[in-house]
Amino acid sequence: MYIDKDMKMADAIHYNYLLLPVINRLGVQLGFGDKNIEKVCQEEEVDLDFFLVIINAFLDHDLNKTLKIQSVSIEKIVDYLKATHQFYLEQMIPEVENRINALIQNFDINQNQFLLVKNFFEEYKKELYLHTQLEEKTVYPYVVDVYQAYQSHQLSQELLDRIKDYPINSYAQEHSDIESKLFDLKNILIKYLPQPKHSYQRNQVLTALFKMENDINDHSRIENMVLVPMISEMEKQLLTKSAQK
Amino acid sequence: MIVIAIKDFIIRKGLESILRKNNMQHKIICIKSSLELKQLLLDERPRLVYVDNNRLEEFSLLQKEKAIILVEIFKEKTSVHSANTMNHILCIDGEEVEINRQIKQHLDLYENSAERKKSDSELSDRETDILREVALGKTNKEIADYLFISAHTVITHRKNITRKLGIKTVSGLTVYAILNKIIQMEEM
Ligand SMILES: [Fe+2]
Ligand SMILES: [Fe+2]
Repeated sequence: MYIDKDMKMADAIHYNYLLLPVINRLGVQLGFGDKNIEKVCQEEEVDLDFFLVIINAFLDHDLNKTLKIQSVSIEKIVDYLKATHQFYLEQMIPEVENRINALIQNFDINQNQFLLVKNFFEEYKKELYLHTQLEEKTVYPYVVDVYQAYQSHQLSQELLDRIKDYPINSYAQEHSDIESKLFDLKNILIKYLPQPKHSYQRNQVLTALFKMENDINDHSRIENMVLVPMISEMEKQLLTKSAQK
Repeated sequence: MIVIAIKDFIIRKGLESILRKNNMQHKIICIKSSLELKQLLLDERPRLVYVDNNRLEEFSLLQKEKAIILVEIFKEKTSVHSANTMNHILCIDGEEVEINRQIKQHLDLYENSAERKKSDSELSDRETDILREVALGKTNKEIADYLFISAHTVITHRKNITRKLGIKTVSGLTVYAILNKIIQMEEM
């Protein structure tokens, strides 16, 4: 399934509702009537090509779809990634937390089990926060600097040193995994907590976790498969040019 | 885990969808090349593998070693099959009922293989010992010294623990160990 500009925006959502937060981050809010994607993007002043590559890569994990994101400007990609971080921290995390709190309120689990789950997620939250802070404070600004130097053919000494000392590939190697803990928590809830009378409250936590994990997978794919190789290539070319001078 | 390693795209996809209908609880993986299959056999432990009939030879050794049920795909019925190999083949020229009957046999073999029951889910005593130490926050080196085994063995056990439980992180393993009373909260 490929979503194209002539498809109705509403149909794309009906096709896969997990797109809801994705289109929001791209700058489209609900209430678009029967307009097609092209028209909605035009009215909301959203870059149509960018919109299409992002949602298609989100829906289809085929590497080629993800690589198509390389055709858009780095600044746009970085803005999108930042908006995604914000979505995790401001919406997904509180949502999961509220649903975990509901477990104890509804006597789904006992106090000790509750604390285990709660502390586990608390730990994850801290990790996620540090991860996104590091990217926004150091990695993304560096990415934009490299991109601008590459575009303008102007490379400052400072940036040159940075490329030599700490290229994007060292970030890629240290790029920590923010998915494993979510995966573990899912299995703890599905398999290992004692059976509840009714599973409803636990299902609520799980569906939020599944949604979040799916979204984070997409996010990390963009960082690893799009951002890193693009910047690495630009670094290489900048280095060769500066060596020729 | 069930693996479908068949060159022909249509057969591969068709078999996949039939298996999925019959069998919801197991992971099914489709692969094209025998190279991929070999890699997979090294990394994972599939229990049931479908291969094209001309490729069986390549894997016969692995089959013995890892107790894999190999099923050969035949495009039409042949008379060479003896009774004891009958349930290790799949002839795809039959109608739905016939195909389902054959597949059900393979799945029964798979379900009943003692190997699967033993190694696919429950932790061995040794693995439980190791899980306990991991949950208490010990490093691989410390665990190796404490249990008089090599660090390499510890790593292998940890991989198996993660595969069996579906839990990857140390904090996750700790939660599991507490829930299952392998360690007590106070020990933390
Ligand atoms: Fe990120
Ligand atoms: Fe990241």
